[in-house]
Amino acid sequence: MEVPPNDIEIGEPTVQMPQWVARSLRFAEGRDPLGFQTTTQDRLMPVLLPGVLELTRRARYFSFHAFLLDEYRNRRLPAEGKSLSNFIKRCEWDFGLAVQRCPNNCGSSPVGARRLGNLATQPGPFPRGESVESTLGGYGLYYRSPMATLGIVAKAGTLLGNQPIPIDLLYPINRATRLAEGFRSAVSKTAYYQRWMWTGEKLPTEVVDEYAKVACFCRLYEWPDERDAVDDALFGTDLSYTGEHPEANAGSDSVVVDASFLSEVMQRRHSFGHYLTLVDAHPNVVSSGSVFRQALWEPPKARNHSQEVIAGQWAALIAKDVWQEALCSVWSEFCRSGLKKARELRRGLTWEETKQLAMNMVSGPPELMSEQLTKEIVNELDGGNLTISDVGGMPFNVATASLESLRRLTERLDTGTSGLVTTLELARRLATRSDDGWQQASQISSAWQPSLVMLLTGLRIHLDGAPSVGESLWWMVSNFVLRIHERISYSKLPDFTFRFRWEDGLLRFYDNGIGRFPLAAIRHQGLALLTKDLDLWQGTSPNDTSGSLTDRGRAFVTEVFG
Amino acid sequence: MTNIPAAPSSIQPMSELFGASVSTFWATTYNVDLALFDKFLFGLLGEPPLNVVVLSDQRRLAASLGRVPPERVDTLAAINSRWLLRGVRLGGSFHAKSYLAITNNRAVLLVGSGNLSSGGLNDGHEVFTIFRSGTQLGDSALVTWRAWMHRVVEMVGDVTLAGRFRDLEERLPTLPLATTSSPLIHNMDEPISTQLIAMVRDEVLGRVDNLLLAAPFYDADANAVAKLVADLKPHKVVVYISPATSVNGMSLKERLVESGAHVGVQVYIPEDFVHAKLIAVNVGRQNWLLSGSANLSQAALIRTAQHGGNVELAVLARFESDQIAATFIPPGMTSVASNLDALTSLIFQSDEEGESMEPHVYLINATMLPDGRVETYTNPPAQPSWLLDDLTMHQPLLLESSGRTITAGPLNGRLVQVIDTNGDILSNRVVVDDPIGLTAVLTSSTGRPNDDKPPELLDGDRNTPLGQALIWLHQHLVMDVSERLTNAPTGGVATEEADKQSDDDLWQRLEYEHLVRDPRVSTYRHFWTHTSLSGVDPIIELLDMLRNRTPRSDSAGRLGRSMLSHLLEHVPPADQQENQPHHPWKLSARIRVRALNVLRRWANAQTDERLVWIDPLAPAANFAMIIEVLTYLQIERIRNTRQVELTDDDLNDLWLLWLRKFAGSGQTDGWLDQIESANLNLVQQRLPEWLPEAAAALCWLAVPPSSQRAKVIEWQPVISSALDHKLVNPTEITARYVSTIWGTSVTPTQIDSQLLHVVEFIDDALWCTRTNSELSLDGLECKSPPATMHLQLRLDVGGVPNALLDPRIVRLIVTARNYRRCDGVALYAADTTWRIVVSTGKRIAYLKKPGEEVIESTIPVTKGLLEKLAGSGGVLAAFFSDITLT
Repeated sequence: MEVPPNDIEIGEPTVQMPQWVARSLRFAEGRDPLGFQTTTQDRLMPVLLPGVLELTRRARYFSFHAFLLDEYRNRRLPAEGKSLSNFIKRCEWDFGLAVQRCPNNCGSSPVGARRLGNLATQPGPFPRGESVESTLGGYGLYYRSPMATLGIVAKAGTLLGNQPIPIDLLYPINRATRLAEGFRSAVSKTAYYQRWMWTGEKLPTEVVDEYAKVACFCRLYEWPDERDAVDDALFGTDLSYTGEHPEANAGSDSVVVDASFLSEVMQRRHSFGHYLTLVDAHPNVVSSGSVFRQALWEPPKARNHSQEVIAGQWAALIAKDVWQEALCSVWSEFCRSGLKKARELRRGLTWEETKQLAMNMVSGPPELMSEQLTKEIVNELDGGNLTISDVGGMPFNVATASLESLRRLTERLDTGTSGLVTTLELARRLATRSDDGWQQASQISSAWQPSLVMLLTGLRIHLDGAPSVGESLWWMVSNFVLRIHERISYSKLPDFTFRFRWEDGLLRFYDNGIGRFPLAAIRHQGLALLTKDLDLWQGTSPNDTSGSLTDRGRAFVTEVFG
Repeated sequence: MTNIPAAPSSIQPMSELFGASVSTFWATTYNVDLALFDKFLFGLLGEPPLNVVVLSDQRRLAASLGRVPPERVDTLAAINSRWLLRGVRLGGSFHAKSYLAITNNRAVLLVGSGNLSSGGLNDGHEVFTIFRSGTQLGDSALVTWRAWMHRVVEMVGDVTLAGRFRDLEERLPTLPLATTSSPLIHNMDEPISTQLIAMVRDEVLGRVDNLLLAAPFYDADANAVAKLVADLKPHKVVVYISPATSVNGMSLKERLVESGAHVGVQVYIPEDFVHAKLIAVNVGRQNWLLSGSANLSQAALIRTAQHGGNVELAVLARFESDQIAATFIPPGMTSVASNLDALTSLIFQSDEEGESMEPHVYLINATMLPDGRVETYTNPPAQPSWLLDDLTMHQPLLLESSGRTITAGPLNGRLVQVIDTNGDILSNRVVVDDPIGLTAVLTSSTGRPNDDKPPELLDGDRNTPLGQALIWLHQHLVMDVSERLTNAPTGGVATEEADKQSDDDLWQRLEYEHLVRDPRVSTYRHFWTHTSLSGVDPIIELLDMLRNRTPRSDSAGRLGRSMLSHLLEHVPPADQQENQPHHPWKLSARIRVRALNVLRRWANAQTDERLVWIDPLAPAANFAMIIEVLTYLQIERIRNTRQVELTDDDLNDLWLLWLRKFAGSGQTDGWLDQIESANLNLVQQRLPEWLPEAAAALCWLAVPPSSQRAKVIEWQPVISSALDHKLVNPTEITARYVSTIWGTSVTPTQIDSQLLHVVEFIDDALWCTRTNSELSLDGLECKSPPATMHLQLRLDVGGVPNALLDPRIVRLIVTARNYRRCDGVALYAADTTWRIVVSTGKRIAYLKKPGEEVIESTIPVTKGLLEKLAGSGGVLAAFFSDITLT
């Protein structure tokens, strides 16, 4: 096709020809269409496990990055953010290459693995590169914020006197210097550190392999001082807190902290300690997300009140995820049904049609009657009599099933009625919870979705009105799906993430990823890997699918909970 | 003429139109995606002051709003509160798609096929032509658009919209008055097809080579296509279709076959809906391309908007190219040739232009009043049984005496409709206007005028007492309505065209709405609800303000019933004033001139008929307030001359001007002379009781005893008229006030006598002047009478060629005898031709010209004879039957 004319001249002025419209809005699926992931990622996890992001998974990255910052400063490299960023990304590339060439074939996945590709399997010398594209590399993505939270790193912009520091620096405290020193000790005798780290030349194979031998994640246990330094970075505090800024306390053990810092350290210790008690009770927690979730919902008996609190908090997170999964089933069927109906009508749905659509999402499984009273379902659940068919036709007693299996059931069934039944059963199980940790976490809401407590209150009020099943489904759709998805999607424009939107008074559906949306990660892998790196548990089966606490692990639990 | 340079073939309307620097955005569209615009696009525009208007087809908008459930009404919150939405209903569909965005120094206009929706602006296979100000064609298109919009606004007849259009005109970059031929065309006066064909026929008389057609909607039987083919007689017709093209395919095929032209059918691949509307005519390398909103329907192409057609906008361009077909293919698509049978699968569907469910009542707009009630405009006017429903509750609609229809009580909902007592829906729905919100966003203010001082004054005048007084008056009273109004816009239309087209009523209503919403209106309410000076009213507020300029600790509370008395009591002795640290009432010469100009302009503005829109008695209130200021200035000036540098003459001239404008000068030229009797009675009832005594004082001060004759004569008709209107009445307080100022004791009787003297004063010269004027003579002069006993008066008369046939001569004789209380009168023609002598008991003597014989009347003049003759308009010739009168 030729390029159509655009500008023409007709003897005198130039005429702008008509032009075809090009898109300004970018269609994107959007992974959090109802604002549930943000509740977990931005509201709950920072409270439950401060300083550990989902991809903050390897203990040695703490010491490695502290080492890089320390080296960068000690060698008086340019105090410019871009220069530091390039330095870190280059070093991460080299480190990743070394991890991939681990002589133990530990199989760890370093930052930048995608860019490295299969480079490690090829013969050297190896070209140099950068780990990831984003500023400050993997450090910036996964470790910078945690290390700042841990009081290890002062981010660029932190005031030094009246002047902001231009680049990230280590706080001049023992926890920080020990971290850097720990990694330096491990690699100090390598050719990489002594020469190649500072050049742009291709890396000889032997240099990489020598580096891998001492620096891979799996070798941390060989460097107890470094391991202890990471342990102290995560769970320790400094001796005094008198300083105003890093440089003011150079050489001391002090760093500026406040009560919230101490609170976060305690919270982190409790969460890791609680995790270890779960591993102790359920060895597969280290590898199975489902076991982890069920264990969090039904943890072993708490050793003290602190553990009761932390267990209550994590249980609230699990309950929230069950509610999310239940609503996701409602959402999923609503989107499917709506798109189908709109295609039949060749137009959007009116408000009344939308309501009817939601009220008629009863074919299940489990198949229910729209006009049936929801209270009847509640009564069956109370009596433990509600049995529904799983995808394979297997009977599933809702009231006696584990919460995790219930969550997975509605995930598999992917129907509005399964979402309703799961919600009702969840509410039944939560009705008597009132412990402190539960109270704290269940009241956390997001900008989009209400808290668990508000949901339960709303549901109770709704049920007081003796609604039918259809009305309850509409209640879920109208309160937690319709309006919230529109608000979220408008906030994301010009990324067009709508699955539906009101247009010209009609609800128009878009075939823009109508399936389920995932649960937000709850640090399962991070907890497993970090605690393993720190030698708090050891594998008891091939591939570490189960584990048992080490002496260090038991000591840690005892230290935390008594 | 050059060939076509390569250029980007696509446009992103959202990027072109929406940005943080845009201060004005106007859209015309068939349908509007309210949520997309309100929740996203509007937010991309700049900060207030922001002029945002969306005009959409009324029926389509009504259908859309009709679907909004009560649960979603809150999503309409910003509509008609931060930006203006209006449904347009002008016969056919309002189908034009145009988008105007203005930044500080440039304007961008997009005209095309896309509605204000995600499909229309983002992904609907649409075309737009972009025009930018500052280019020759861009300016010409903008001029055309502005004139077209001017007419649309007038046809809509909505004053809020008109106000925003006026604001839009002020924000547009300066556009040339005369432009090159505009590529932008509309169908207000001439069908789109006629203009296209005329442009082609200007250069090509015979058959054209090719006619290319693409549109999603046709009229059912392809009549518009038939007309185009018949008029252009193409050798070949190419139609671009998709499966969704709406037309009776068999009819289209028949039309094309009947034309005798070779027919090509191109099917868009993939089979997406293509909403662009394109018509191209080709002869050799010459092409004419029509794009815009017009589908291939009769309503769009063949009819004018005034005769049942849609309202359409299109771009018509002529250019040379061998590649015209390429312009019909959207990016990412192609077309494949098919045969005529492909047309037969097309089905005519209820198209985008046909959606309508006419309600019984057309609810035009609704406006939230400050008390929460809602004012509505409907067609037909509201009936007593109607209610306004906001989807949650309803209120009866009451027809007020002012003609406005307002709900009985408040309604909170933003989406309203008219229902009957059974709850049956009678009307469409509209989103209620929030005038305060709209004004705030448009002006970035609280709605008060930005210029809070009279335009003549300078900022430095705020520091002068008189400047502050004038500014107080300006801020609290509407002295001159034209200060807030500008001339009605012409919409870029030539003057004669504007005269022909302009809907004066709309712009007058706009002025009315503008004025009645003026916050100063409330001052008048307070004024008339305090008929005495015993409460807190504007008069007291003004006095308080004046007192602040002459600080005293014993601030007066209630004033009693006499302004003058208050002034006498509260003006400090001169010796005390000497030590006051305040700003003196002393004006520099320039400030004095500015103040005089303001007060004179205000005086002249009192007879502006529009002032009664503010309040029916507004000029009376203004008059009272000015008396208050003048009496204050008079006494202040006497107490300390240096405090007020306005001279005696300044103050007297101002008073004369104000009194004349208010009371008139006997020529029915005063405001009181021009108002209805009912209002005149109201004025006399409601004017402050102190006003006649204060007015008497000002009059006496202007024309005191021993005033020169000229001044007496100047004031005489004005004071006389004021007395007739009972505006002047000297009292003891008047006498005290005048005595204080005058320095000697003056009694009420003396004031009364002096004013009567002024009113009754007359001398021969004055009498001659008045009589000359009354009788429309060319001159009248008293002269010494002839030395004859029975003649006491001689008048030389000009402008009467034939005295015996002119009824004015009879009236003149009667008037003169009454004035002089005499009997014998001699009239001499000023040109020394005729003479007449009249005396009771004697025959009238008439000399036709010098040298001729004197002729006498047939009968003597008896008592009352001439008076009777004057009363019947008779002439003296009646007494001279035997002479030739010509």
